[in-house]
Amino acid sequence: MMMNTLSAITLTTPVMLAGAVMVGLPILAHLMNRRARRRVVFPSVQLLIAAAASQSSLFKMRRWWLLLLRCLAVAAVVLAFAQPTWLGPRAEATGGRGSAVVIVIDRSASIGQQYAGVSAAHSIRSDAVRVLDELQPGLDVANIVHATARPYAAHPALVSNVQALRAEVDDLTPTYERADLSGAVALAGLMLAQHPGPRRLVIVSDLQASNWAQAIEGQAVGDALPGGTRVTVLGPSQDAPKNLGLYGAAVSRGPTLTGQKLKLGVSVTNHSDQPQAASVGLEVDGQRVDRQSVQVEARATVEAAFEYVYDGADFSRVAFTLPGDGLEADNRCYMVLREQERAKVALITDDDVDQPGTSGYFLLRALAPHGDDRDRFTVTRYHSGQASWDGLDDVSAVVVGEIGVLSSDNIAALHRLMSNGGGLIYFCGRRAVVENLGALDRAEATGALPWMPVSPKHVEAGTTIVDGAWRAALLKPFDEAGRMALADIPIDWAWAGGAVDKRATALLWYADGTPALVSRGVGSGQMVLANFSVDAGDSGLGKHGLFVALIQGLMDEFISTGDTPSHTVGGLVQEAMGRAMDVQGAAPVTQGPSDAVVQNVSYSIDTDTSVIHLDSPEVPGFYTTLQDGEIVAVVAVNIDPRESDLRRVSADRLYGMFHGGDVAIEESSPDAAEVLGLHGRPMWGWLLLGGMACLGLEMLLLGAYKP
Amino acid sequence: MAGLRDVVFAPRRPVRGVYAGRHTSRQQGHCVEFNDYREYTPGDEVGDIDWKVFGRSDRLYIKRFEHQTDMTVSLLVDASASMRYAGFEGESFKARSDTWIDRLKVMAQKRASGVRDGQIVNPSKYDQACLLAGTIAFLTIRQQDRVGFNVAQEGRPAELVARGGFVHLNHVLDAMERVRPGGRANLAQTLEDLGRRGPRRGLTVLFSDLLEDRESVLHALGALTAQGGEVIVFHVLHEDELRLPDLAEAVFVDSESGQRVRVDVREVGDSYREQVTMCCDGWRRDLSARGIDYQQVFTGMHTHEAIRDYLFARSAMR
Repeated sequence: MMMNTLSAITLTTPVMLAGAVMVGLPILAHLMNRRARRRVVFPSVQLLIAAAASQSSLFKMRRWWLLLLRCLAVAAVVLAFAQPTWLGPRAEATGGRGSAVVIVIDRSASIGQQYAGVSAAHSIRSDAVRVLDELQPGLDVANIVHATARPYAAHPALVSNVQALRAEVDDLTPTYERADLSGAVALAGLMLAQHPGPRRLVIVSDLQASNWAQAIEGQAVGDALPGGTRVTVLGPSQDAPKNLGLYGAAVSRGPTLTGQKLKLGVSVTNHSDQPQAASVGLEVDGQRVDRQSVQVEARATVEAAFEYVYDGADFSRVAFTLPGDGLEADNRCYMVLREQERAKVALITDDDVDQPGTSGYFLLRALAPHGDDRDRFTVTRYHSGQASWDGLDDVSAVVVGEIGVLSSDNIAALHRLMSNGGGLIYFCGRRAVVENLGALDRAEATGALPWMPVSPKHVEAGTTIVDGAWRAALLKPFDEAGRMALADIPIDWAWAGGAVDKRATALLWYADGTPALVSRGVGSGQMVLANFSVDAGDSGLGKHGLFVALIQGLMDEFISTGDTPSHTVGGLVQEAMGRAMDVQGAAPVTQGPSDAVVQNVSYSIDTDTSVIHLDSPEVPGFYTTLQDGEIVAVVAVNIDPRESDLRRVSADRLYGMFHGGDVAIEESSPDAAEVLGLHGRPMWGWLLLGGMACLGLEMLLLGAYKP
Repeated sequence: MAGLRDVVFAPRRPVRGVYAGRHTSRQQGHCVEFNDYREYTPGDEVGDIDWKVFGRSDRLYIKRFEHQTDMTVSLLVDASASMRYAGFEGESFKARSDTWIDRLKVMAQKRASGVRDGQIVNPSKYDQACLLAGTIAFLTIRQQDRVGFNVAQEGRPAELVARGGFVHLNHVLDAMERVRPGGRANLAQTLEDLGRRGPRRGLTVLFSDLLEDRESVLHALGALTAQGGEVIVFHVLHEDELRLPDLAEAVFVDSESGQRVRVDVREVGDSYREQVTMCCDGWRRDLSARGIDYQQVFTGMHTHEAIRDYLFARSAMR
């Protein structure tokens, strides 16, 4: 037992034990004092003996106590100078061999968060330095694994150069990436497996729950570590700061065409437990364009949308901004606007589109109100006999007005259009409605019609559309005023029919419950059936601007808005270039957000499309590719929106992921003096205190407290 | 001695003397002081018959007169080793080799010793006892009485038989100077010897620190008083014996038995003072019960004042 206790103590400067000879000083003093003690030849010693009988036994042994206390005091001081440390139970485990320590440092974007005036990155640096300071130079070996999107080690193998590791930690800054923590732990496990002695894994992280979730759900982290590894996780003890994050920048309405009014939207998420107000800004090409305030409930997301008229500039760089909060990295969200090709729409009608009052006349003007380049669509008019697949293969949507009976080729072409993702709007006029719709319904094995008109409906003069599913995406143009205006428009021709298909959605309906507008998905596309005619003789709808809004809104759902895809930091970016590369021209160059040339980029040409391949972009922002001084591509890269959620993972969940392997958990307090405990606990302070206590007891015995 | 010129050292009891003197005796004599009449019995001196009374009453009466005689004072001084104590500094110097600084202190004290203003500086208990005894001897001889001197020291024979005259006083003082205190006193034995050899109704004055077996000493003193003699005990003490020397811790060695005890003076001081007080009160109580005067004398006291104070107190008790 005694030997075990002594083996758990190590001396930092054992040479100082030579001072143990000083223990002889109090013994010498004791002997000299004994010789020099006053002897008084006294007459009445008998009385003195009687009086001395009342003396305490402590006094009778006092000189021996004094000698003992003095020797202990000197021994304690000498031992203190030898700087002993208590290794505890670990002394036996290490057996004098050096330990291998791998520090996994979380370098995800979230460690840029600020709490209590300190950044998480600073705390992580401090914790890592604290761990490195505990290493015994020349005995322990260590390495650092950076947990980024693609984890990597600071050195190829475990090293004993603590200074180099410290320099690595000093240069540590947060990245904009999402950390692959399970990969980092696995890499650390590989390194630890090379060491035959005691192994320690220290994970320094901001404990972001969303980042750790993947590692925890993997349930194989513990297996990646060699047996006997002791794991310690260091993280902040403070609560996560309030944070608002931006993500999902997109053109939410309208094709990106010159002069078109676009709606640019971004999602604002409140990652705190209290509602927050935020001022969202819009920058285009570095210029502040607009700003608006949004109120976001706790743990909720709202969309901030800005009206913006696209000026036709190539590669407009759009950035949404938030003021500073808990995490700076997610306060900017980027997207690129590129002029889109005008969408093609086919209008099939047998009416004279130049004859005012016909349904064809109204439909053409609803699709192309301006009749020039300001219109959003290129409209091609077909007669019922002309609508073959050759003419419809590149259109996004087809609008059908008053037509005769469609041929089987026409029906097949329309069905194929919907199956490939196109949209079809069929206005139920007076001619061949039942025949054409019946043929379309039969073309699809499960039926294509949302509702089947059976016979013309007896409509009283002045009937109106009274209600609608106003929250449906197709009816977005209808605000309260639009709904009231729609209810005032008389409808004189409609069809009666059966029930609405259960796979369809009634969007508008008449007072008697007959559907007025019904939608159903067909294949990858969609079919909308309008149970009214816009002919001037059948309804007054065509004459209203409201009809134009309805048609434009329906087209928005069928036609891509043309927003460029957004990519995340650390991922692989592949995107078609805005302009084709000149294979004969100079080699293209890609510049990062800071205008520095990016190296990890490649280019390819696939048939007639040039593609940029950007591997693991490190910084969010715009990456610009130039060839011969001309911009050929601009790519927007954002941080992973999951980095915005700064909530911390609980200790139980965190340590739970290691339970599968042969590892031991060493929990450590953020305020603990030592994390690894490799050096043991210094004992010299206690020894000095013990020495002083001995001297205090000596003074007590000598009666120094007496006046 | 000027302070004692009017002082008379007289016994409180009638004494038996050899020659006519100034002290009352139970003896009938031919002093001028008439005492009593008693009827003549055969054997009385015919010359003592008061013929005037016979003429008036036709009866023979003897006229009695008080007899005043001289007094014999036996001085007994304790010369045991404990009477040598004159303070711990001097004793410690003699007892052991001390540090040089202690030696210097003692040497300085010794240089300062001597007789100053008629008083011995730093006297031992024996010195103080001899001063007292010498003073009483002087007073006694001055008033035409006789003084004997004895020393209580084991193995030492009796010193001087009682005589009068200043020549004898010189002999007494010489005897005091010759004696070196040491060894044991064996006080009880000496008192018994003195009772056998000395006058039956004399005055015995004992100077001692009374560090003896109490019962035997009291028995011997009681024997003296039973013979009709008067005894006065001067309990000679050093101030250190009342309150221990100013030391923190020391080994105290008994001056006679050599017994040692190591004590913390500050710790046992109160207890020791209680012991000393009990001891002195015990002697005072036991001696008073036997009709013996008890007087405490310290070495630091002026001799004449000590004698005068005692005699004044004695006269008040008369």
